[in-house]
Amino acid sequence: MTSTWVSVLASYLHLLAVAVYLGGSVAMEFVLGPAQKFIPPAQAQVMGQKSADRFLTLVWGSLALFPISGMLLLFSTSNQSQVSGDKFFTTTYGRTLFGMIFLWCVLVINGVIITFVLRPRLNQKASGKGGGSNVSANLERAGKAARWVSIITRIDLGVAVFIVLLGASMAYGNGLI
Amino acid sequence: MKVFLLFVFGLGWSVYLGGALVMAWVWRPLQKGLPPGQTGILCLKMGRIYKYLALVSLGLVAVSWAILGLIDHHGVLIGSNGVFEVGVSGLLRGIIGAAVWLALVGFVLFMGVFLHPSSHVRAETNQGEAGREKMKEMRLKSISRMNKVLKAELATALVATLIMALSSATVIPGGH
Repeated sequence: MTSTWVSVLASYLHLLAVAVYLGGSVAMEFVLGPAQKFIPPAQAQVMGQKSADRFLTLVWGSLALFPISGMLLLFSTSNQSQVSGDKFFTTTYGRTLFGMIFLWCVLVINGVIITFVLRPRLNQKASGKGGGSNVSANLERAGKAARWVSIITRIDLGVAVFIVLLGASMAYGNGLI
Repeated sequence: MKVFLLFVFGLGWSVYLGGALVMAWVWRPLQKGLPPGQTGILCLKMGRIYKYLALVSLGLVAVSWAILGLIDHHGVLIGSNGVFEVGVSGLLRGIIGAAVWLALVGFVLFMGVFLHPSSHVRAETNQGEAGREKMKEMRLKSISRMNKVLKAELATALVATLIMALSSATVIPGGH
C-alpha cells in the first residue's frame, strides 16, 4: 500500500501547486492589482513590491513542486511504462506529458525573466537609484518593465490554464495532444 | 465531456484555493505595513471582488462535480478505484463533499456579508465619543473574527484538497 499513499501525497502536492500558481496568479492579477489603483501611486508601488515579493516565494515553491510531485505521481501509479523510450513522443499520453513539461519550462523561463530582469528594474524606480539626471530614464525603464510583467503574467495564466486542461485529459484518459 | 468537466472543476478549485491562500499569505501580512485608511479602502475593494470570484469558482466546482457524479453514477472525480472511493460508500462521499462545499460557501458568505461590512462601519458625526469608541470596538472585533474565519476556511479547503487527492490516487492492488 506504500505506493498508494505516495500517490495520495503526490496528488495532494500536485493539486496544491496548481492551485497556488493558477489561483494565486488570478488573485494577484484580478483582485490585488485593480485595488491598488485606489491608493496613492507611491503607496501602491510599495504595496506592489511587497506583495510581489511574497507571491514570488509561492510561485517558485509551486514551480519546484510541479516536477517533484509529478514524477512521484508517475512512478507511484506505475505509469512510467507509458512514457518510456520512444513512447514519450509516439503515444498521446507521452506527448501530452511532454507538452506539460515544455509548458512548465516556459513558466520557469518567464519566472526567471520576471524575478531577475524585470523586478530589479521596478525596484530601482522605488529606491530612486541612479541620481537626478537618470530619474526620467529610470521611470521610463520601470514603466516598460511594469508593462512587460503584466504581459508575461497574462501569458503565464493562459499557459497554466492549458496545463490544467492537459492534466485533466491525462487523469481521465490518455492525454490530449 | 468528462475531461472538460474535470478541467472546469480543476480551474474552479484552483482559483478558489489559490485566491484564499493569496489573501492569507500575501494580503493579511501586508496590511500591517499600510496606513489604516488605505488598508480600509483596499480591504473594501478587494473584499468585493474576492467574494464574487470565490463564489463563482465554488459554483463551477459544484456544477462540474454534480454533473461528473451524474455521469459516473458513483459520484467520483477520477475513477471508481480511488482511495476515497474504495474506503467510503457512495452516499457518504456525496454527503461529505456537499458538507465541505456548503461549509466553504458559508465561510465566504459569512465573511462577505457580515464580517466584511461590519469591519468598515464608521461612526456618524452626531454619535459622540462613546459612539465612535463602540464602532471602533466593533470594527476590531470583526477584523479579529475575519482572521479566524479565514484560517478556518483555509483549513477546510486544505482538507477538501486532501479528499480530492484521496479520490484521484488509485488504489494499487498489492502495491508496495
